[in-house]
Amino acid sequence: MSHPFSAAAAPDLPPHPSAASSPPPPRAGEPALSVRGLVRVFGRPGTPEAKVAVDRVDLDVPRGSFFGLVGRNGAGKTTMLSMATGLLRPTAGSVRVTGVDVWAEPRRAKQLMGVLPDGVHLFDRLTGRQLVTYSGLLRGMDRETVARRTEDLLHAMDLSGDAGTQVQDYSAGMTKKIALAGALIHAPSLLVLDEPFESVDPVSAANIRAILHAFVAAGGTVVVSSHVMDLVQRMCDHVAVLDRGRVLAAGTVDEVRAGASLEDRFVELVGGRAGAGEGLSWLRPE
Amino acid sequence: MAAPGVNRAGTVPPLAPAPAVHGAGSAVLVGRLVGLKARILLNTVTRSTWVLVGTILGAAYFLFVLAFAVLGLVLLGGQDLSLVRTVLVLAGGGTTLAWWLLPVLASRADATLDPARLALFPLGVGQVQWGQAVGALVGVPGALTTVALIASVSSWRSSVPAVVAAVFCLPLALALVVSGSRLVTALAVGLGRRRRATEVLSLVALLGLVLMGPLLAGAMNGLEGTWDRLPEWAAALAWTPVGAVWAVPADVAAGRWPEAAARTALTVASVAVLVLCWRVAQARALTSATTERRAGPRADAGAGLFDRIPERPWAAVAARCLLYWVRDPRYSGALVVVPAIAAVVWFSSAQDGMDFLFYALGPMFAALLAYQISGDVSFDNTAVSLHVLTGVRGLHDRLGRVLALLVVAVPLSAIGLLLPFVLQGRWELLPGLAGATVLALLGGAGLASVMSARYTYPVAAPGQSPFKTPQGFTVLNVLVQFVALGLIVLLVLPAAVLVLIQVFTGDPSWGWTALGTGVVLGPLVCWGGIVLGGRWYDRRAPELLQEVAQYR
Repeated sequence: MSHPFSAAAAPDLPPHPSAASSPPPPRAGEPALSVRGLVRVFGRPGTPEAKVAVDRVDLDVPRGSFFGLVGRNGAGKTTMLSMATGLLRPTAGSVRVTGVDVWAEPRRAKQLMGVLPDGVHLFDRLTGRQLVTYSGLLRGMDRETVARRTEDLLHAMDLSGDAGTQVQDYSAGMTKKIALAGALIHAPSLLVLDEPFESVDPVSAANIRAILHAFVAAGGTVVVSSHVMDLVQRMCDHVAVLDRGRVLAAGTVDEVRAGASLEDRFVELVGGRAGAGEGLSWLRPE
Repeated sequence: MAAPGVNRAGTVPPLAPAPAVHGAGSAVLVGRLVGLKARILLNTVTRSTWVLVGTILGAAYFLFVLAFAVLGLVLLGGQDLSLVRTVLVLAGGGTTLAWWLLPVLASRADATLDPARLALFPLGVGQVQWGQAVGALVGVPGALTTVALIASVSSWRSSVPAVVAAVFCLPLALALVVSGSRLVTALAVGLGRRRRATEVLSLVALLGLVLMGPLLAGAMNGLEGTWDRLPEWAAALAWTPVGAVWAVPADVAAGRWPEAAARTALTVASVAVLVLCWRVAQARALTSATTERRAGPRADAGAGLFDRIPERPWAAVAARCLLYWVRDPRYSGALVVVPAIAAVVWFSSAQDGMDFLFYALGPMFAALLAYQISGDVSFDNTAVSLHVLTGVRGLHDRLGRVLALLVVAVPLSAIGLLLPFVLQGRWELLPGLAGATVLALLGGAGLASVMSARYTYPVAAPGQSPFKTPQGFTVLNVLVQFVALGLIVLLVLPAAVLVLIQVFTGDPSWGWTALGTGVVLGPLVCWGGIVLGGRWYDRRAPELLQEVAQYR
């Protein structure tokens, strides 16, 4: 099962527009995702409580790239991705998905995107199969396509056996996988995944990676946020380092890591690393 | 997202004193557990200004109630001792039962010292027990009960031996209520893993609670001179574990020493049994805290309801909402309340001059069910992000939710509408009341569609018990809900007034006019609400998502 997608579902996944959802043809030459001057301030601007979560971010995600977005906890990854996917209104700035402005033409942009948000509830009283079906029907797809793709996705995520179980009884990893299945159902041309591998077991993670690589190979674009540097270095071809709401570095993985490992480079860029075990001299077995 | 209260603690306990853990006595650990509970309480309250204001108002209310109770208890002291005994035994027994049953209702009402959360710390069962017992008195109900109990001592002031006995009984009574309550909580933790079981149990408990009033009222109505029978009931209650402790001072005052001793023994034995059972249940909860029980996989093919609906987004939303009406206790709770309301109304209408109330059952059902979907987006919580991400049109979102409501509410409202006529006749009123029902249901649905696209209010988050008080409830939220309910009532007014005119003039044409009003106005308001609500939703869905994300 190194490539679970090759036989069963591969014909469905490449991002050619389906008849039912008919997204607009991507404009040639435009980046898959283009972010300009993106700002988000929480709290009323100007007051002491105001907190700048994302601070004038410019970012281009080339088409057909496997893009990693790395940063520490609270660096603004989720806030930025929420604004890029239409979940959170930016204080300022613009986001375009293959040239379509997410905040001016939300419906067109959303047809192009498949999104896995982090830390949101799901409609977890539905069974796994129902949740994926629901995601498809909400997008106005026809039932037959939805049913076929749902079975393919459940199979690819190794969830066929639990498809009739309510999602609230799933483990954390299974929940991630079913949400990912729901994000893939309409064969988007851009996938935005917030922490897709968190609490997913190694075998499932390998399967998901294989699916994503197949998707990129077929011309799709994937944006993944993570704070696991090893994973990003192995999996992605492009990376951006985000810290305190600003982009510190962006480009191909090789450009950014500049000879060092991505983890070392990241720590160097972000700083704030405490000396090894400093101040914890008492921390040893008695 | 775990335990938001803890990480906001102003004073982080220093890492350093590792050796202290080994040397700390039970008393120190118990003190820390209680301190933890107090700290969490304080942090929850001071999270935001509005929560603080809400808490202060709530506290004012409780203080008001408490002041009344204390005043009553002190005044009671001037009365005859036999009356004091009757009142205190009944009130005390009620308090004890309330303490014991509350954890069933609120499932994890007091989860701060939940054994499951403490399972990782090196604490003995006994230490956790003491911590929880003392911690129970730190909370709001604990403090209220303690103050009321102290006040009850003064009720016995006409007899010095009785006061001494009451002081002696005070800790015993506290031990009784707390140990019983904690036993039930510990058992509920075990049950909590069987999700469906807790949900059913809490719904049954709710039904019982709602029906208790009318049942008692009925009993009171049926039995002439209930007042005279109260002493008998108190006497019976005084020989049960629940009521024994409250009668001891009276026995002492009257010099009935054998009875006093027997009752004390009964109470001590009850407390001992409760503590022992609690210990066993607790030990089980502590050791099996993390073993989640998972429902076996069901490999039924097909997507159920989703296979039998039109291929439109609004139909998908309707199907999903319908499944929630059945599967989610936060919705099915509303369905359980409906028959309970019918019973309440039936009991109250049994009294003279109130029989008109029974005829309002249809509009009442309709309005209440329609009101339920005014919290739809709040109930979805951040799951509504799926609707935002898929770009569902506001119109479809609103329409689907209303359709699901109608599937549920039309048969129920029809039953509510017809029931009074079947039981009591006066069929000439049917057209008018049918008009009022249609107006309440459709108009209410339209109104709720606008409300839930514009205003959210905190409700129990997905997966939580429907009785769990949501965090961050403010006066503003209560106001929004009142306005929503008030507007629905206002909407029904045109039809209701016409029905009243028919009642007074006896002219049936007024009733038919009411029906016409409902049938014309209802769909208009409904569609208008769906369109307007849909437009609002389209414009501010992200903001809506931000709002509900705060309700956890």
